[in-house]
Amino acid sequence: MTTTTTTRHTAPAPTPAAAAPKQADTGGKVLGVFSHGFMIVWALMVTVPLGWAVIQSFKSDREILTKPLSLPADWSIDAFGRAWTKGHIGEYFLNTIIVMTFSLTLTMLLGSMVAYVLARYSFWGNRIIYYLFVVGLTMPIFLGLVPLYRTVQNVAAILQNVTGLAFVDWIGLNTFGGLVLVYVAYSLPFTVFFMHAFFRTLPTAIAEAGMVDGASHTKLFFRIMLPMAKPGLISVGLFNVIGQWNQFLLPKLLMFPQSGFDKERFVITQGLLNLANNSKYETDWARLFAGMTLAMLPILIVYLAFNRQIQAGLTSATIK
Amino acid sequence: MRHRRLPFIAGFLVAPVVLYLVYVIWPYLQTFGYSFTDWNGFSPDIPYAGFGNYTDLFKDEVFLRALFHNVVILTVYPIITIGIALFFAFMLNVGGSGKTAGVTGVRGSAFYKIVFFFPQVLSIAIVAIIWSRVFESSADTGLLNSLLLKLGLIDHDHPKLFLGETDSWPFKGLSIGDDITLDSPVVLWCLIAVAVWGGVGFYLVLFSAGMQSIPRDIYEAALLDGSSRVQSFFQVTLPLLREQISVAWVYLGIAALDFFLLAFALPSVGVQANHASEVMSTWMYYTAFSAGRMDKFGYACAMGIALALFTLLFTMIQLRVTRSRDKIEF
Amino acid sequence: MTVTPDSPSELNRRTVLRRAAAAGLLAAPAAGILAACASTDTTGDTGDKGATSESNPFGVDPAKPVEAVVFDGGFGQEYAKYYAASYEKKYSGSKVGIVWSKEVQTDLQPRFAGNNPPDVINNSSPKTLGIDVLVANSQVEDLTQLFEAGSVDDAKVKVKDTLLAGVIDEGLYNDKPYTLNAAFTVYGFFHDATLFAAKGWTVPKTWEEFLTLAEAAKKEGIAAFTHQGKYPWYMNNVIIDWVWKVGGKSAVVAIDNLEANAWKAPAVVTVIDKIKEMLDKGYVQPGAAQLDHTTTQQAVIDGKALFIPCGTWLEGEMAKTLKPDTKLEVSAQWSLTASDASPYGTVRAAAGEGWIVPSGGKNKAGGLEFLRVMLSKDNARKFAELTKSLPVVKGAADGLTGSSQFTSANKVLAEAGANIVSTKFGGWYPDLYKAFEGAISNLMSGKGGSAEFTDAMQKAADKIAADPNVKKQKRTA
Repeated sequence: MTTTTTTRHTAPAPTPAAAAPKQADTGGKVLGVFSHGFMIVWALMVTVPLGWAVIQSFKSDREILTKPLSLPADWSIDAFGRAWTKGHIGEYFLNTIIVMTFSLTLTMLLGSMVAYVLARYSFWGNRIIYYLFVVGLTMPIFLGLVPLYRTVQNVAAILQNVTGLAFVDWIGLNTFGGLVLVYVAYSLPFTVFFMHAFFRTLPTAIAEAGMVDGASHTKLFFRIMLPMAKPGLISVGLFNVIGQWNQFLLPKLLMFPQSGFDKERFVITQGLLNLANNSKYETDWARLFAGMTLAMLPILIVYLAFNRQIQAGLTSATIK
Repeated sequence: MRHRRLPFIAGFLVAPVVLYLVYVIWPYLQTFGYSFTDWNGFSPDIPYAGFGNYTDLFKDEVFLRALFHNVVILTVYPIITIGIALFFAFMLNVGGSGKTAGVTGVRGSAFYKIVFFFPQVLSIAIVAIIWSRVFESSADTGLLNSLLLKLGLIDHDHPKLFLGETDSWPFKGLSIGDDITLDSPVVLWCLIAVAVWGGVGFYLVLFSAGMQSIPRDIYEAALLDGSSRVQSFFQVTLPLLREQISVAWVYLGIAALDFFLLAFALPSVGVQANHASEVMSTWMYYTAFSAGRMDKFGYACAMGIALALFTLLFTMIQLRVTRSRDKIEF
Repeated sequence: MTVTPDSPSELNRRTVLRRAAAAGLLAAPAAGILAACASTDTTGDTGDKGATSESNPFGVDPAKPVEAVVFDGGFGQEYAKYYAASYEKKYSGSKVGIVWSKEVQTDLQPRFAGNNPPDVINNSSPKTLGIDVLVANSQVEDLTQLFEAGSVDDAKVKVKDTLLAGVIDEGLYNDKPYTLNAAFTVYGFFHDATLFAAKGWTVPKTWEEFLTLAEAAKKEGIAAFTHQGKYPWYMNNVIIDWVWKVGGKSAVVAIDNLEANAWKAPAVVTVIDKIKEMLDKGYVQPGAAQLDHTTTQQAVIDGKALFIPCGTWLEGEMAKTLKPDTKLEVSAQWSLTASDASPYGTVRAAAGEGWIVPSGGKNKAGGLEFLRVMLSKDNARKFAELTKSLPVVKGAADGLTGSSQFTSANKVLAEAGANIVSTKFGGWYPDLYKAFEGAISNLMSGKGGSAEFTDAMQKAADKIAADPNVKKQKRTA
């Protein structure tokens, strides 16, 4: 790819025909009107239902059930308070952030290490490991859920027996550590698959220059290749943030108090589902919608923040 | 440097690979093992069944119908999603009217880029709650039905059922023998619509990243050449985005063959009971945890392995077809 | 799971609701499978038992905390906290720790597997622990010891004699009581008595009376009937109850026993034809087939529909969106023909909200005592007040008039006498029940009538009957 772009780059076709751009312009205009219309419709399709859901949080339950399409008579923020305190959304937020701080860092670090090695080094077993990760992408998570439960339990117990250290409390069931490791393991296939693609597209010349300078492989990775893969890291990282933030099969399986006096360590999706479940037995729809709004806010903020960086990263990559 | 390669490679691989083998591959292998048994899921004895569960699959009319639904999804979902995402990515990155110098996206590009991605950040619980309200079968409370009523397309007492519509469209269900039906019910199309709604944002970002790395000069050159935007899209953008499109295809194909979350969370119990929205994964889930068969867990594991094999096969074909030809040398 | 003999109807309702939210997604995986690794050698007796006395028959040691896992659902939390407080009051210094669970099975299966269950469990929720599995693994206590003990209010009267008839029977498995069902649920058609009074309408007892009422309501733009369409479980009750009504108990037993052509019996055809007639005449709320339970129940509260099938949790479930003057009342399903086999007043009623005591708990005596305390008159009455449900303790709710639903349910139950509907196939044959849900969904969506319905059901039943992989059960009573 690099070679083709370079040749094209240096040789822009010098045919400044006067009529041609005009023609393209009219075509562009018609296309522009049509496509802009389509984009507006699509934007409405996204924002209207979401906006509707957010607005529900300000309504009373009676209003939600009887006038679902109207605006609230008075904008009450009580439901947010109920979601935060009675629904424990605040506490679950914190838990989620603790878990994801570690799981995300580890996922990105380990994921790009594997992807880099697989993408840029040929060695015996390369393809085997690569396809092992691709296989992980193709398997529905719940297929392995039951064995997974026992695996988490056993790994912690075995390590504890062997080392005498409190592994059960660190990475056993209903521990943040255990959840972090499982999140990382299940995020690896996606991360490796995508980072692999990114590392493959990085130009060879710079790496070669680095090698000539006498940098070690590790140095080359951390000093040169990783920074160059920043746009990829950001996008993949972002998708992992979303995936882990919204993950709920895994925490549901692993994060339940193991005794009546064990602490509850729910993450945000579990909290949200608690609220959703509650709506089935006692109607507190407003609280559910408020909880929903709260659960999507942070992730939207993260996206908005990272969105700029993606653009910046990509632009700098293009200018170079 | 060569002599340090192996320790480096091993050092980078060991931790992630061990983690992955222990927490992902090992549980899956156990599932694979159970697929050759008639285990019911909880009894202490686990009778060996050989390939019995796998041959049963071909006699299971619900599984075959579900498989066909997956094929329908596999046929339309990736192409629609990629099509829309490519179109948006093109418009947002290079689709701006070229009056001013240079190639830019249309006006409001930044806004659209952010908005189109929103559905991607929502958990399935939220998506299900929102869309069940959108599709609600009431002209008073359903978003879509109220809209149709305003447009005069339905009358108040006959709202569209959407997620409850089990009739096949656009072709009538195909019956093979007494039991087997191959169809594509309206509810399935509703689910595909939700999936497209949710998926476009992801691929838009993926393609945007690719397009941003295509030097502007190429477009400008193409424009000077007299190519229309449509032409420049097909002549310049598509060929240079091959890698990204191929990745998208693989990923969407996998999603189409799985499709568990939507098919499980959105259609009502009654519709699921009719198997109108059944896909392989939901049928496996039901079989494993609710069905009355005594060999159900083993059978469900076989279903899961079959599903995984289909996906694997699809992925391998896809990767082979679109495999990038440029080699990286070190 | 296979059969869950403690109250299949309750289980079904919840199973049905479970799928509503994406919540269902997480529910099952951990389920029964985990029980496999449960050790089967739980000895049950945890050793150091305190001294027993008349007021402390199980030898409770106040120093040992009691751990209760309670379903956090429609009944709220207050009633269980009240139980806990009265236990702590009885044994000063004792401590009751309650863990709330939305899905008891999902949450507790791992703990049973790890041989670390709590001391007492309210085994309700969308996913309940299967008694069959627990019994097979000797993980649950036979409650005979509880029922034979003296009651809290009067040590001379045994606990079993303070309970309503049939309550202990409902909790039998292999002829032993493992489950204590703590609430009585009455099912039927619910309406808003305030609206009926305002319009001068009365509750129909026959099909003809219903048609007249429905026509009058239609003129006012009110649908005579609605149902929780997204959850066919509710219409499943309506259909089976009507089959029992029209064809008698034998018609339902034939269905339960997978008898040849049980679904093609005249009673089934009549019931489906009448429902189809309601649909065709436009008496059913538009779009109800795909509406959820809160929306349709709200339609009755708001006077958009007259009747909805439900159980006596309805008032509690809708408490926050009732109008100030809403008076929900339950009544029996009206007769369909002049020659119905069962009299008007035949209803479905069942004891539910099952409690169990695990054998492997750290404080088994505390768990048993918790239940004994729970069955005191004071606690049972408080339960009725807080949950508006009928407690299973004799006379505990007498004179309580707080709610129209409560009063009407009491009345309906008295009128029904021995004419109580029950059905088994749903719990016994999940696949047949699923087919039933599908057929109901088709029927209520206007896709076909009795011919299609009975064909589909008979085919499904025949398939189960012929399937060697499905364990068959036989209903005699």
